[in-house]
Amino acid sequence: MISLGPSIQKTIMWHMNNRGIFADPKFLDVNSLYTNLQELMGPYAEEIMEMTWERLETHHGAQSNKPSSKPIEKIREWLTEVAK
Amino acid sequence: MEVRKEIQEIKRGRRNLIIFLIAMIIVANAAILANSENLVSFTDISRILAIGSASVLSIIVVARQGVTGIFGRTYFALTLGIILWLAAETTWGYYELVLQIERPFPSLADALWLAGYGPVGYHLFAMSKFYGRGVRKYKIVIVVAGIAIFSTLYIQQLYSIFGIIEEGSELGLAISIAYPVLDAILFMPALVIVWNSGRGHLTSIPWIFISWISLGIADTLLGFLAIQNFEGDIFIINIFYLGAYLCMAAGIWWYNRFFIFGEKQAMDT
Repeated sequence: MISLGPSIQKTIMWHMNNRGIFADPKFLDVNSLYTNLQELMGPYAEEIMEMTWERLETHHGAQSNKPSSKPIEKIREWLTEVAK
Repeated sequence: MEVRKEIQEIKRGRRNLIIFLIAMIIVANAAILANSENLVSFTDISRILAIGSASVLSIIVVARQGVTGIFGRTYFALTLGIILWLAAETTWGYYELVLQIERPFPSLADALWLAGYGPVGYHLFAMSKFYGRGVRKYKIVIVVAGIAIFSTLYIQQLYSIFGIIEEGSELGLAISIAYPVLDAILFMPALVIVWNSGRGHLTSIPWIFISWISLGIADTLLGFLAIQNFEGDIFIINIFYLGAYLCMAAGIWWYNRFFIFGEKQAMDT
């Protein structure tokens, strides 16, 4: 979200905070984040997830077994792998 | 702030903006019609005021959010484009109202209008990456095919009219063709995105893309008129230009109000 710009990032974070998405600093429900982003930002949610996945790939070496699947599915898959 | 209240505020803001926009379009056009003896003056001034209001709002957006990040850059580009169009409208108005040159076409105003397509085009394509997510492929195929057919027919029609009227300026024809070609390029993402709209509380109305469609219709009608020495109804074309500029202003207001982090949110935090 940083790459969108500091102002819009703060706005999105504010909305997500209101919805309690970042209430627990040690746990992030990525499904809830995605659902709430969709409710608020419609098609932007998909692009934000895509950008998040690209960042995970570049900076954290994330990989997916299903490259054609949706970014949210790739993030979920990677998080499950990391949690194991 | 409670989520339910926050959503209600967004819905109320959207409803009020739609009502205000429609009212502004009606009032502006009624004022023009009521002064039809000064049609040229009123249409020129109405467009300068409308794009001027969009310029002011876009400068506020740039001042508040800066030029960093994807949104910072795209809104800075939009601001540049709008300022160029304000300069174009003002130049056109200056020719007509001050220098008393009726319909100064082609002129410096056209150079400014065409220059504005670059930054506005950058904004539209950058934003279409966000708004265009989840668009079905068949919609893209229908829109691209439709625009290709329409543009071909339109340019052929312009050529045939140009052939039958008395000898005019080739530059005029070239500019008359340049507008619809550039419009068609930017029309594609605009039509697909408007067709695909309605999702998300903050993003359900793609204001700038709706504005672009209105602008494209106005340019298409003006292209015919321009090569026929403006023998036609300027009022109808002005409705689309005015609608486009006001819709653009509404979109920038919406972005300024709901997308940029402000004092109100900071207080709540």
